[in-house]
Formats: sequence, structure tokens, C-alpha cells
Amino acid sequence: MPITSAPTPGTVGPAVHLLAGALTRALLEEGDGFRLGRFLADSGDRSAGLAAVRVLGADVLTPFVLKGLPLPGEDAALIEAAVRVYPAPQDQPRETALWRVREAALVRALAALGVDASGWEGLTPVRPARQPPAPEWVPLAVDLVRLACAAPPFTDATVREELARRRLDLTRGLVRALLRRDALSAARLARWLTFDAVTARPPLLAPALEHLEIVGADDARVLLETTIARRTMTRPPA
Amino acid sequence: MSVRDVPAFAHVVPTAQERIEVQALLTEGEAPSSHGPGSERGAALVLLLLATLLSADPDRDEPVEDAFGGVVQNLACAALF
Repeated sequence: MPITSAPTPGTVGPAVHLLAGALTRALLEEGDGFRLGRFLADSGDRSAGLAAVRVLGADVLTPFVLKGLPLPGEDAALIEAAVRVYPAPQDQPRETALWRVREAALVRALAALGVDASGWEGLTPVRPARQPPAPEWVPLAVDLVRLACAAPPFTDATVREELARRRLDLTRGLVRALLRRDALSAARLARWLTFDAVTARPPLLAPALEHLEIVGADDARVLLETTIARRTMTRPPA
Repeated sequence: MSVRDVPAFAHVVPTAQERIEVQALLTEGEAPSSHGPGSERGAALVLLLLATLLSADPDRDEPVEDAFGGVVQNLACAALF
């Protein structure tokens, strides 16, 4: 019975899993050996590699942000290339809000590393217009799963305040995903639950992460989410 | 450094299929179907488990007089006296 997400058919899904695995290893290992450029050069398929960078969004910056390492200029240029080659769609209004949140997280992460991405070709214009979170807990959890690229450590203070009022709903969403055996969604919601884990760690979080690391041991995307969550939990508050 | 300084990647032209894949992966949400309890597949497994636990002859090893909590025996005694 499949309980983890297999790469989708095509070239991009496997490339995303490869990049997620490389990011996980970079987060787990000590040192500053990870280079996005080296990974993409070794991966062979340039187009699929850039697509993977675009799909994972701000998460490609987690080894640098969470380990306090400088972002090499070549890696920043590759992220810019990924944004330019795979621009945000202009003709899909239903997805506009999703793209805006993702792009805002990417721009914020790059800014934290000293890179100004405001003028990059292909980025969705980031506007401060914010949609209120869904009032019911199931739609809230579904939305947060899709917005995992904006989850900690890339969550701004306003969202953290909103989540603090919805802690129970977030935990319900995590339990629901675990019961559905949707490991990737559960890992993403566990990552969201680390939004203030340094001061108020939900009791369910640690066993949920352990469970997901076991059932998702073969799924690079699940392990990336759990690894980011663990790194975020041990990171001193900004 | 700008994207022009990464020449191998500066002129990548993705296929239409790759664009579709990126869009699909970017907007993917939770798994469309559940495999846990309460799901269609989960319910089928529960039914299968129940079916294996059911016996065609549940009273096979049970003494006749105790089959209905002794009611048959009591009725027989009542008829005699």
C-alpha cells in the first residue's frame, strides 16, 4: 500500500526528488559543502534541474539560511535562471495567490542572504495583499500543505501570529494527514507547527516527526520537510 | 554575479511538458485519496479482516446446554415439572 509520494512521471518529478535528497543531506551534514551549481552540473539534465529549483522554491536556500552560510553568487544566479526559465503564469488567476505567497517567501529568503531579487524576470509581483486564513480547520490544513514553501523558517511575523491563534486547528490537520497516511502533507504540517517550537512545542510534534521519518524513509521530499522542521526547532529565534 | 554568468543555464529552453510538470508539482496539495482508516481502501481492509474473524460455526465448541445461556435447559426442566 503506497503511503509516500512517488516521483511523478516525466523528468521534473525525479529531479525534484534528487534535489530534495541533496538538500536533506546538506542539512544533516556539518560543514558548508553544498553548492547548488555543483548539484545541477552533476545532474545532467539542465532543464529538469532548473525546474526542480523552481518547484522547491525557497527550500533550496535552507542549507544556507538554517546553517548561517553565505549564498554563493553562482547559486543565486542559478535560482534567478530558474525563475526566468519557469516564470509565474499570468493567465491562471486561481493560482495567483499561491504563486504570490511562494514568491514572497523566496524573495524574503534571498533578502536574508543579502540578495535583492525584486527586479528578477519571471517573478510574480509580490504585493502585501493578504488573504485571511480559512476559518475551518480542514481547508486551513489543505491550504497550508500547498504553501509549504512559505513554512518555517520562511514564515513572517504576521503569519506566525495568525498560526498561534490556530494551533489546535493546525494540530488537527496534522493528525488528519497522519490518519490518511498522506506522509508528505503530514510532514509539511509538522513543519508549519514549528512556527514557534522554540517557546511552545506541541507535544505531538516530536513523535509525529519520528513516525514520518520512518514511514517516509524512502521519500526524499518527506525527509526534506522533516529535516527542515528539526533544524528549525533547534534554531534560536530571530 | 548575474544569470548571464552561468552560461550553461542561461539559454535553457524548457519543453511544454516540463512547464506543465512544474505547474502541477508547484500547485499540488494533499493526496487526493486516503489510505487510512475511513477511506474506501481502509474500509475494504477492515471488512476483509472481519470476514477472516467470522466463523461458519461459532457454537462448534460450545456445549448445547450453554448455547443460549441455559435457557433451553431451564425450559426443559419447566416442562418436566
